[in-house]
Amino acid sequence: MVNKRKSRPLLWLGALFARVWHIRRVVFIAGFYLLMTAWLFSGGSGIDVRPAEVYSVPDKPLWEKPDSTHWFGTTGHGKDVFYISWVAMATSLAVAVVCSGFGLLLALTFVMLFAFDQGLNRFRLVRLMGRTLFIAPPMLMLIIVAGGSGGSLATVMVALIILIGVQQAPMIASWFEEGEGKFDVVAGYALGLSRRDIILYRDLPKVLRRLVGAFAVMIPWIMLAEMMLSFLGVTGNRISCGAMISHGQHLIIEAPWMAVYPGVLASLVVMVFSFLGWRVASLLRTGEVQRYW
Amino acid sequence: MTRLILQRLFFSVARLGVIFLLLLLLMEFAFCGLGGADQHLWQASSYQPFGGGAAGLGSFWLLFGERSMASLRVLLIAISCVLLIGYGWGFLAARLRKYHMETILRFPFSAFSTIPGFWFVILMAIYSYSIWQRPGFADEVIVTTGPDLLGWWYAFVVAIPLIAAGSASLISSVFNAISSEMSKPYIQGLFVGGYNSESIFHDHVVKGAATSLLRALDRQLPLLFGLLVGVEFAFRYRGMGSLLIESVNAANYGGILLSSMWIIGLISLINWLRDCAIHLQPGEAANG
Repeated sequence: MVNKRKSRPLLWLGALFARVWHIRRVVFIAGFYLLMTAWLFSGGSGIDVRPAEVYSVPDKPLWEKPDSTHWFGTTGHGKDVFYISWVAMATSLAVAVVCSGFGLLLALTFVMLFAFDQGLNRFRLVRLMGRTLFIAPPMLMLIIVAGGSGGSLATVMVALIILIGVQQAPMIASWFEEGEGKFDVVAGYALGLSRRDIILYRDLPKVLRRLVGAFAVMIPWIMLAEMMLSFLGVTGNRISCGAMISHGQHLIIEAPWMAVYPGVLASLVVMVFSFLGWRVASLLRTGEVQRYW
Repeated sequence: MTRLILQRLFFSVARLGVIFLLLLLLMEFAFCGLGGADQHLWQASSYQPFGGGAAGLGSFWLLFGERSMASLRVLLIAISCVLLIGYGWGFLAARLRKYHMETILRFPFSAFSTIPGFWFVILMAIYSYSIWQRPGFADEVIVTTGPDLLGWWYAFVVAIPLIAAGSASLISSVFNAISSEMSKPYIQGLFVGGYNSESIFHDHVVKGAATSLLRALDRQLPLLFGLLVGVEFAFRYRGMGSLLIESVNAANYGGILLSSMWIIGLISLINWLRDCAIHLQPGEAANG
């Protein structure tokens, strides 16, 4: 019998396979997540994205009821409602991804300013800020900022990022605190590791893993918030299911499909993202993420 | 006890003051900084009568009273249902933890909470049209004698999206609070020691998780009030939420301040009551 040693690439491949197998469930769910995202973004381009124009009713409307050709029916100008809703949901998703991503990044950066401090009360200011801002619902603040500024998607996005950053900072701070009592951190202190090493190499990887789960959970909430704001007409003249429903509600007797079907797609997409998000968060053991939106 | 209550009250009022100042800054920044409005917050001419009401203190209080009563009615239904469902289902889910009942019990509410509230309004309008041949609420029907059941029914319909979202969130919070208590070593020890599972749950787990359960009491409020604003406006329900949107659209600072502070004040009040309840627990009081 020959004691044959495996080649380096084979060993590397084996290790990679073992790693992927270890997180196979997360990969599976993340695959679904990406598939859903890719489908939404494949929705096409070059269409009129101004809801007021898309939903305007000409003297002789060309609308058709939902049928096998146009699943969601057509608008007064004969445009496919499904196609427009599809593009609208892609917009909502894009807003949600950007805002959740940057918002959580802002929250993490803010918490990291305190994480390296010594002592048990280093997150006292973060907690105090969280408790003070808790009594102000973020949606209320968003409506005031978006409505007061005249309504633009960019303003809404910046406001959303700041609000997510501020609201989620106490949650991330509590994750750092939870990590402090864990075996590897206590062992790190016993071995004489510096505070910087413990934060960067022991606490932060666990926090980042949980942050992915929080990001996945928050996407559908932010989509709902964006749709609500566009329903209220404070996100500028850009297509969104909220704006479509808002314009379509004036036609619920003549053409009810223009208000009903965008809502069907919006509910389905949000539901799928919610369930995928909860699954991702559960697999990554993110814990409870407070819903503010 | 009085000292603790006053202490908590002081903190609540201080927080309310900070948020009030923040709100003023935010309004000035949004309307004048970003929106380019000429009217500043400190100018008396910026404060016109709001909500379609006439000028004068009497009509102001009439409008304020009418609108706040309408919103309070919705909130009363929504918050009581959320507490009943959230704590009831949450306890049940925790008791049946080994059967993974949390997901099943939470599912209907979670699924409903993914439906945009304003779209639910459209569905209700279409339903009303198919039944009564007129969309939306029958506003011209006014109850003159007997209890205003119609008003309560409208408030209940407005509260449905709030109930779904709040309940889903509270079930999860209650389940997590009890589960984390149940996974503590002393509870495991009681099981190993042969104690009755009913007695462990009621005498130890619930008692141990009491603080976390009380903390979950007001956690859903920012979500509920945020939804209330949008749903009230979508239903054309004349409450404080729709007053906020109408005031923002009309750049009426008085209306914005009044409706915002009404919402923030209510959250603050419930938050203060919750704080007092937590600190007046026997164990907590002993800890100071």
